[in-house]
Amino acid sequence: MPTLDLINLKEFSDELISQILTIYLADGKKDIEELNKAVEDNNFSEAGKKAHKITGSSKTVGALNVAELTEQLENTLENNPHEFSNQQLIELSKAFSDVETHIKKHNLI
Amino acid sequence: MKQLNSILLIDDDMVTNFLNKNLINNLAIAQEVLTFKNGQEALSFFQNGDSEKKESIDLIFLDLNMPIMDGYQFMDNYHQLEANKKTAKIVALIAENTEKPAEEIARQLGVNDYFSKPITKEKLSLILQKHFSI
Repeated sequence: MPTLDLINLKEFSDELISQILTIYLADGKKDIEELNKAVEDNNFSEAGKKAHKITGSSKTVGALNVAELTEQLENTLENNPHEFSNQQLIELSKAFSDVETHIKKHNLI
Repeated sequence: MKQLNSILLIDDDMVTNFLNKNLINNLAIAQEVLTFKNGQEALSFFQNGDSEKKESIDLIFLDLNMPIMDGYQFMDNYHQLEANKKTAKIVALIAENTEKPAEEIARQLGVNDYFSKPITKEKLSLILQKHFSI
């Protein structure tokens, strides 16, 4: 799976894609921090909603690894919270970091 | 082309809000597009915002799954607001993989219409024809 597949954004100009990815990175970082905090507070319902939000924006920009991890996380947090493991959050942070590195390396913003 | 006054987008996903605002602006179907990132922000606008601005809202797109205040809680509160002054049409954005049929969810919410995400030019055109005869 590619780190970032921009197919959903193909009709947009480079300038608009740059703006979309800038919003995605800024918002995504904040969301992951808030997701971690919600998990720390055992607020699994709120954490699940955060994961759902990250899934939506990640699918839109084509960050498919991130979307897959947050979808799994949402499912775990909402349906089987006892099966949640911190490893899921570590993998999510790494996948998001990979997207950020890819965006910067390819001068997409 | 006839324009709406204002459209309100309530969605926690800033990327989606940005894309939808861009689409609406490109199609020039409204003079103004306002965005809020959860039901609480939108409710505060309706409770405390500028009267003229509130009354200019013709159409609201409402996401359901949002942190802080979701679409269901927003609608519960919205129904209790200045009943006689509510003229905006509300379109719920309902995911395709919900447990209940989207039609049932929309009826429970008390919204005017519902669509699946994402908002597209074609969906906007249908909404304008159906609810505003544009």
